[in-house]
Amino acid sequence: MRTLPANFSTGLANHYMMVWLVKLTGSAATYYWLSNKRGNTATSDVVLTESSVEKSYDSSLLARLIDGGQVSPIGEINSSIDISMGGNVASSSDVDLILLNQDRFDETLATYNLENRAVSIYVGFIPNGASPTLEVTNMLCIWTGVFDSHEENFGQIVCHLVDSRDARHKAIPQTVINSEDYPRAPAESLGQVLPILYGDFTESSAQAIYFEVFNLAPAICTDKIYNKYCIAGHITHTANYALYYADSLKCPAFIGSFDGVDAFTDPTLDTDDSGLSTVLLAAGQLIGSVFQMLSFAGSGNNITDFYKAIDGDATTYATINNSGSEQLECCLSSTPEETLFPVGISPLVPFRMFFIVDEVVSGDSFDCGMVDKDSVETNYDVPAGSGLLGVTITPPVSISAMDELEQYRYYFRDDLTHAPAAEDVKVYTIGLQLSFVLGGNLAKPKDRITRMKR
Amino acid sequence: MSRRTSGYRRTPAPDIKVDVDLPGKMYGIWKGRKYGGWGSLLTPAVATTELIEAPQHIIDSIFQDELSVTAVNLADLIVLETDRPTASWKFARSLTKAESSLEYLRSICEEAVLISARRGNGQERMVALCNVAAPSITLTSSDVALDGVTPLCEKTETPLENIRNEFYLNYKYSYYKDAYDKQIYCTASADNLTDNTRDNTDGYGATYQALCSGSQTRYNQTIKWEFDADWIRTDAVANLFIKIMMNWLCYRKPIFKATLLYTANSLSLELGDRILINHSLLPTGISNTRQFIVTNLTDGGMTRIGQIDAEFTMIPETI
Repeated sequence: MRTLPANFSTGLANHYMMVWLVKLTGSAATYYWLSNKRGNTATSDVVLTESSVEKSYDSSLLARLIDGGQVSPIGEINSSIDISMGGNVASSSDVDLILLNQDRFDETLATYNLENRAVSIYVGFIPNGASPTLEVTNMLCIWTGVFDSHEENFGQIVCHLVDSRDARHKAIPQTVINSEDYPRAPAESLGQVLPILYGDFTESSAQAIYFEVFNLAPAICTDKIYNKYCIAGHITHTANYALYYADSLKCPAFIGSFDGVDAFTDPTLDTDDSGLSTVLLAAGQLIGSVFQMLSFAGSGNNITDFYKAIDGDATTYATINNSGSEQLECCLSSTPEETLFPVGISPLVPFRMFFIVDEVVSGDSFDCGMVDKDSVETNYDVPAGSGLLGVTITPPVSISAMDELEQYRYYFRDDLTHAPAAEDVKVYTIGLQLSFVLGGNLAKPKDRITRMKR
Repeated sequence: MSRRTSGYRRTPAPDIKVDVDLPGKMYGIWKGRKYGGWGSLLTPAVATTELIEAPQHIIDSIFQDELSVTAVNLADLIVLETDRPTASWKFARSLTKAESSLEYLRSICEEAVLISARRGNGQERMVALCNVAAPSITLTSSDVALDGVTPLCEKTETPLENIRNEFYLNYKYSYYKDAYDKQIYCTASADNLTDNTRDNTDGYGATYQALCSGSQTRYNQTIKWEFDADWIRTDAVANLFIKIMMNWLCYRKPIFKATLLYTANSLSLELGDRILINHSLLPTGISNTRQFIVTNLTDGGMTRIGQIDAEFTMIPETI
């Protein structure tokens, strides 16, 4: 609700003379048109003030009588909102204003340059007294908009005033990528806008990425040569990771992180470039990595629900209840339809094992490792601790090809000999982070064999 | 004597790099815009280091940061009357296409169930579609104009065509999949809500499934509501939104229309105000008890000086 000005309430309660005021902003001056200049017990014209500064006004323009009947000089003022289907934005009507065209005022009006300038309509009451003063701030502003047009005859001028809400709004985001400002932008970026980013595009769980749960905000390439990607045309709150997604990839690939964790390369966040939030990668090759859950898990004697370690569900887990010997084994699938990388993408040697486990028994310890095709085991220590752990380990093992990687079995086991507890270790997920090249020297042409002339 | 060859010649491949292009796009795991200096003008004030997430503050930001409504004018321009706890309503979206800010504003209002209106003096105003503790205005019969001795008012209901009683909300839009990652739903017999129980003050059901089934029985039809939410990304907000919409759309709501005289009450009314109506046309239990929201105001203009046509829609008891 709006609060009525005190003097307005007094006028309303005492049935003082109602008065309309139209305030218009011209190119050179502000104009005040009042519907009455006398009222109640006044013996002199009302004095109009705004913030206590006297304003000159014209009281001969706003029509009050037409064909002998009293009318308001102001047309219907409507505001409405359709809430039939929930929240919405209200709309306001345009308003007509009738002026008396005395002394060919239309010719004068044309010199005011009112088009597309602010108009406010007030209603109020002339105070009682012989020499009343009417203060604009004591009137009720019932409509604001802009002056649009007018049409006239020799008797009256009808002014069309339009709602200014549309004028307040404009197309956003406003910064369009063009070849002049962004000469190295790729063709597909031209005509696009620098995004505006609101809210949190990080998953609430820091380990969500291990389950291939992504909450990603898009970026647009602004510089193909220097690998610059703008994620927002303004300064942002936090930058965590940059990822790359191509239709041929199974899932978004990690390009880098801004804290040096979980990525093979570290891009920089450039906020000095006109306040943009930009991912700036090293020129040349892009090295990405994917978090790939393993595709097959096998069970030991004391493993429960082993498949829940690879089901992609962050709430389910396999349990190991052993005495230091049983282990949960997993491996990569070699089925063609589950190939990790699309054709033409070359996996690099670097990889990491990752897993999320919960040491139920305080002080327990466990380890992980891999076994090659000749059953040679390489073991890695896992940091000790209890509670939910998301850990990545980089094995110091040289693996030269994808098929070699696929021949390994990966294991995870409780490494402390003790009496089995109900659930010694919960294994929520286990997998590999594999790196690959997104562009660059990925293939060499074959030698050309030509038949020689005899 | 000529030298014999095998008849074939091997030309070594040039040692060149082959640029393998992998068409795709870059994405970020990120947090978006922070409050500007205008955050200090909010009540309570918000530091410039904080992330903007509350729907009404995103609207503020659009006005402040994009439409160049300067901070010094914030208090005059934006009126926050949302009654929406900022802690529980969190939106996130990347604006990647140039559209009218008014359309973005509309989409926020839809998903936050807010009304965005403009005051007579040009101030922007946002109001939540929900009950408030104590409406400050009570319209009475003395505010209603008479045609002779007959009050100029009528009572009707929201249209039957607006009823929905099976709900599906798609949210967490994936920019790289171009699809929504998640869906929450509630029908007469199944749901995946976090909690299916509801406040049954209105007697429409102690569960949201019962609310849907009761509506289907009452109106003899099952009509689906499916909504794609571009701002909602979390399960918690999706639950809040779909429950409000179920309470809003399952049952028809009374509408009160009246021609009002210029009175202190009627002239104080603004679009979006929540009021009580104490009038004999409304039944006991609604009159002077249930909250209505102002949805239409038309000042009589040239020929009906001192009269206002107004329309009010009753707010569901449970919302």
